Amino acid sequence: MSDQTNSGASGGAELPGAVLDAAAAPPPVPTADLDVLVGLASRAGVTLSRDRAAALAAPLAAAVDGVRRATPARRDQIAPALVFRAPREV
Amino acid sequence: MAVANELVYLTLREAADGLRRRAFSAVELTEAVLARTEAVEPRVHAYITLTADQARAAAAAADGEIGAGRYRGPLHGIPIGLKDNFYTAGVRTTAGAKVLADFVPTQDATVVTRLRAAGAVITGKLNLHELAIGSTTTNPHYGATHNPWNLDHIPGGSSGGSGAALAAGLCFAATGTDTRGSIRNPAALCGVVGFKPTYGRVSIFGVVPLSWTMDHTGPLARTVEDVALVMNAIAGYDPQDATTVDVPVPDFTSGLGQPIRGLRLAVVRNWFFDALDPEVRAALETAIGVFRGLGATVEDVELSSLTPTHEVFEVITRPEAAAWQHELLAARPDDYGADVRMGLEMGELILAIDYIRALQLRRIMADEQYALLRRYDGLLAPTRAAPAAPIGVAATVVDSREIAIGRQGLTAPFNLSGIPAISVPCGFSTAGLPIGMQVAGRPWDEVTVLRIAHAYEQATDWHTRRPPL
Repeated sequence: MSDQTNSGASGGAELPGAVLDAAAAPPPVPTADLDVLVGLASRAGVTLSRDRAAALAAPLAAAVDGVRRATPARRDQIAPALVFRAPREV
Repeated sequence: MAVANELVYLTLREAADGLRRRAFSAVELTEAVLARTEAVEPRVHAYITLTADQARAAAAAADGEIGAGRYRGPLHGIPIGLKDNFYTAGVRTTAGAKVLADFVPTQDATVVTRLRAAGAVITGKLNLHELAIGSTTTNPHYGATHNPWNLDHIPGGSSGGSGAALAAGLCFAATGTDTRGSIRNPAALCGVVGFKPTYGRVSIFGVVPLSWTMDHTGPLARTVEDVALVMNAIAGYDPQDATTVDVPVPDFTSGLGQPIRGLRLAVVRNWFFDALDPEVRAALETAIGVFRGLGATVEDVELSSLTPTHEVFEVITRPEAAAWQHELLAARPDDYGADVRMGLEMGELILAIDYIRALQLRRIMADEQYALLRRYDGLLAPTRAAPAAPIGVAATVVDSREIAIGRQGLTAPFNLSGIPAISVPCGFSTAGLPIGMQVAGRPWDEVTVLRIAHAYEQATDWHTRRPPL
């Protein structure tokens, strides 16, 4: 029987670090197809013309790409700040 | 009675002292402010709604109470303006938006309730960038607010009416909201003081939201002591607001006047200093020298997580803003200004997975700041990359780079971490436009942030200058 407790422990015991690393470095977010944006907006209940979709496609892609590039692969133990609280002590 | 123009530029503390010793009355003080408003408001346009009659009535009531020995404290009888995204019972609250043009709240925001309880005289509702989503206060629905230092330039935003009103002598303090720097940015561009307390220190109940996880409320005034006095009235747990925290509330003036010799201050050299107008850079370096002269230890540091600040901010705040504006956006898209409409539409299209990733990055960024603040008592940084831009300009060249006005604010990192941060005047450009500097500090330790900023303010005279109106 193999010892599985330390497998993939390159970044901390028990964490699936190697697994995450292997899937890291997501490709840049492409500027979305305008029809996709129009369709997404429609599904959300907002009317978005192709002209308006064209105007916001690039900044939208830049914002999302910036976040995806900066997000570490090993984020399984990072609780998102869903309910944000400043700590009482640092 | 003192000459009216002398009264309007008193500090809040000086005005309060005058009222308490009956050197002038609250009615005289309020009439001086209203006369000043009548004279300069056509050029500055700080207000959306002026509530002169209510102010006169509140001032008369204050005089009656003070005369009867029922003095409530330093805000009693003091004219204070409200950013028009704070609910006011019976007075319309537009948030600078056409879609809210007819919104008349039935109750006050908690901050407004506390100001009234402290005896403040509310002068009216101040202009802002539409829905507080932007930094120019060039409002397409209610008109542009003009910077009192140069009427062709923006006052900053989104609390642009608050900053302009203070610089123009139209009130002694004003409320602001700060999601990306909307208190500190106009303070810097108008040459006044703006203070964003710790997230959860001051209630956001009854404030038209932009982004619930990032929205802060706080004061603007002409001095550090004055924002501390307003904090004493508005801070504290609010059972109506789940974001407030039930922690002890200090006397925010308690550190003022204490020396800063021996305090450790960090200058965050990356991101904040990447692209700065040369005059802003020079002003900051001079200010850092002042801190050293006061005996503080000042060291350069870097925060490696700052790089995606703007992207993280946008991916968090745009969906939050769209989430509550959704029905209005769907029904009345043409009733929004172009920039705000685009931002809300972007918010509709950001995936939940990216929102969550941004919140994870927020955690990393905040933790790095908290770790730094275990070693330092305060952080120093410029407030904006450049002085106020001309009205109507979308971007300016800063340090050889074209930067959108909305990204010239260097304030968002402290919204992401929720730590207290203040902007104080630290110089003027050769064109006569104000420059601001931030001091930030540990969460819930506003007293030290105010102490550091006050020490700098008292060692310089930038806060004593007045615009040529």
